Amino acid sequence: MEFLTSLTGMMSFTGITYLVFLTCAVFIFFLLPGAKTRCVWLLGISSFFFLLYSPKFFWVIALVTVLAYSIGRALDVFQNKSSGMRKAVLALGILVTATALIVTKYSDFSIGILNRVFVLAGSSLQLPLLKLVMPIGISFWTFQTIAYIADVYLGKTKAEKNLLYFSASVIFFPIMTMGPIARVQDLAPQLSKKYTFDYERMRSGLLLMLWGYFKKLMVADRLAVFVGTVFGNVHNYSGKVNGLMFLVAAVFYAAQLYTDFSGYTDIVRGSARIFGVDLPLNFTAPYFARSVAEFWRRWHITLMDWLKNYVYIPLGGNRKGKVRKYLNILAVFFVSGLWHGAGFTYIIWGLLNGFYQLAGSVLKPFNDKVVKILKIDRDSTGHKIFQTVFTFLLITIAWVFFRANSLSDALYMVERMFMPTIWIFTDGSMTQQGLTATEIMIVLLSIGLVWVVDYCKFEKKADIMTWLTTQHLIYRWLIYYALIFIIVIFGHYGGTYNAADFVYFKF
Amino acid sequence: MKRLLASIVFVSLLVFGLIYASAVVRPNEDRDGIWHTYKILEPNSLDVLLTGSSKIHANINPLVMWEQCGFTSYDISGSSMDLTTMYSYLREAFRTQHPKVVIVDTLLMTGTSEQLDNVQMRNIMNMPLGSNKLYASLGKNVPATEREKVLFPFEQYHSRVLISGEVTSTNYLDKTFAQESSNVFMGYRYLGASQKIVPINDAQAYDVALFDRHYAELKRSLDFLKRQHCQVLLVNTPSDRLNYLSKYENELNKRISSQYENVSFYWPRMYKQDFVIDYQSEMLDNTHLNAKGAERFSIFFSQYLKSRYSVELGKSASTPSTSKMFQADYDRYCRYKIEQGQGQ
Repeated sequence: MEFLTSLTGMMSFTGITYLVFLTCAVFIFFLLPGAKTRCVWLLGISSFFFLLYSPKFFWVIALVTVLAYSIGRALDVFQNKSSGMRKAVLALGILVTATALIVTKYSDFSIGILNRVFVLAGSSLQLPLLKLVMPIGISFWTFQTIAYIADVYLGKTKAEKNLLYFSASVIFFPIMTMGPIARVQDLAPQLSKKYTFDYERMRSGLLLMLWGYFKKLMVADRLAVFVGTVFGNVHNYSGKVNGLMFLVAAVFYAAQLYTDFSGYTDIVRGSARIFGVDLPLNFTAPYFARSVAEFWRRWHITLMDWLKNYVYIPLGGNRKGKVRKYLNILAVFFVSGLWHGAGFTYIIWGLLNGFYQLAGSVLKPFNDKVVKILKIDRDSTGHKIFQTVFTFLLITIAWVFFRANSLSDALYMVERMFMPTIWIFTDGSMTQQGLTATEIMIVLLSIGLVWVVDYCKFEKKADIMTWLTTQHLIYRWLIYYALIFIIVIFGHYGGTYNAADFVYFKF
Repeated sequence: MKRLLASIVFVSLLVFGLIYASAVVRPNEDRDGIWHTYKILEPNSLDVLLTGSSKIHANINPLVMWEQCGFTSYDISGSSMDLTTMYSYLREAFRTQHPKVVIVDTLLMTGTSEQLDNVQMRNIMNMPLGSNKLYASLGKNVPATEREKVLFPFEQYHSRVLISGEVTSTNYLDKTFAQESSNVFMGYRYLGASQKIVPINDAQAYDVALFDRHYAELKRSLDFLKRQHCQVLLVNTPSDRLNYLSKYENELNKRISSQYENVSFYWPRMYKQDFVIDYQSEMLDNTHLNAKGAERFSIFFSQYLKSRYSVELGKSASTPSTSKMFQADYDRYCRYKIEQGQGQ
């Protein structure tokens, strides 16, 4: 245990250690005969992977896995029993799988609220904070197992009979830390089938990983320096961090968050593909969305699917009238905010996104009228661009709450971010936030490339990666090499770099 | 089969490209290259190995010692190198060389804090990948989250580095003395720099816990050197004006050397009697000699070594290729001094 603790933090998806780990894992995987042996191998290395992050909490994920499996089996056994019995088993299942998440993530938040209530009530009583450490990825695998139990209960899927395949689906190392929240019923059949080596899939997996590294190391980690400087010095009264600088930082944060999380998703989807496992898409170029509702259909898709299926629909969805629908939307985004973090900034962020959607629905007739009066062609490029930019701005304002260190910081920034301090672009302020002019140039060019690739893939349905594989070997290799060397030489590694710091790790 | 072959070719070209890129874009911090040059030395061609903190590489010039007394020496010291890292450095050094005398700077024994963790990491980062580097990186000097970076220092390829902050284009383009493929002298490049110093004695009490750890590490290094049958000289260099007056360090060196037959120590009083620094013109900064001071001290020190270890130093006759290398680097050093306005 001490040895494992000393290794904690060594493994990072963007590090050499991970690449060495993956190479060995893949090599041995294909040497092993039979699906079962391979699945044992995957479970073994996934457990090792978990131990490298949270050695003290392996028992938690093991327990949750076994309990979820048993509850699933019990629901299957009781399928002909009374609905009361099944409901009780379902409630028990959700409770036991969610306990660890609730205790580790929300206990201090709840204690903090209680302490504030005590102060307001004039009591001197203050409960001590527990300061519990969260097992890695707990928010993701808890949601995955709850979804599984609910699906078995609802009869959407049969309970997985094989504990090995079930465990490998929950503890599968690419998804265990930050998702995507894949369904057990989608993963288990893939893991139980013997996968024959497929060169094309291997290549596309590696390419996807390479693209993920580009997003993470060329854009996200570099922008993190700028964003961290501005968000960390909100009340800097020197004038260097103020006004439009907040807007620039918020826009950069929007880009950072997307490239960080979608970059991670590409890396893990690519890794899983090498083992013959297809993971669900998590992003479909969300910043091209023309409404907030559309944005949330394209951002963190697996989480939003989960919230839709297990919060929105059970609450009645849109079947119980408009008011109920709006309340349900707010509930979904409240849960989303709370899932991301036990803090008021996250809750406000969630509710703000819910409010955007409410406002969009309520104001739709008014909006239609304006469009009609002004004779705006909804299909015109100008209108599409306006909608996209407007949606992006709304989302970006919400991200300020998501990123800010406190609610007061967020409000301070939002109040000032549209002040016309345009001189920040010429007086050198931009280069005083941790990035040089060259680095800002590198990051803007990289964002441009990500934008083009996303635009072609999701807007024009022309995947550059697929196109690439059809090109002549020389061109293809030149592009591969160029991408690798650009990442190796121009990627952001120094200064504040810490490859373990994916934004979504803390969730 | 065709695809397998293509994959092998692809990976081979990639590895070749990465190796080439590492040579081209390595930042021009000369101390980063100490192991690169060390590995191209002819095996068993060293008479003297120098190790310790920056006091060694700023104050002692192996090329001047070569020119003065004809023995080969190499300096593997690192900035503020602590004794834990030094142990791994020594083990790595003895893989290819068996110097007769090892000079150990014990300055950090009386350190007061471990604020220089990043510097220690940089020292380990510079080591060639292998068991010694792995051992050093698993130690207390490297937090778990930094181990990968230390083991595989991709920072060397990148636009920003861990310690020096931002690396500008000059770090890549300034192909001065330090960036040559062989470079036995890797001291400070600003040979002309000088700072007038008023000597004071403000030696302070050291960190006891840190001292105990370093003491154990030093003994481990000395045990290792004993097994290697080489002579060890514990030194405090003259620019270390705060510490050479320190009773702690002198007493420590004295005590340790009494425990080992092969270990002796360089009594710093000599600096007052035989080698006196000109604090007006021979200091680079508060604690290091400049090139002028280093050259004068290297002459003095090489003669001291020659007289003390004449038997050992005489045995290691340098081969023609080693002589050629040292001579070429010495000539280059002289030319560089002239370029910097410091030549004769």
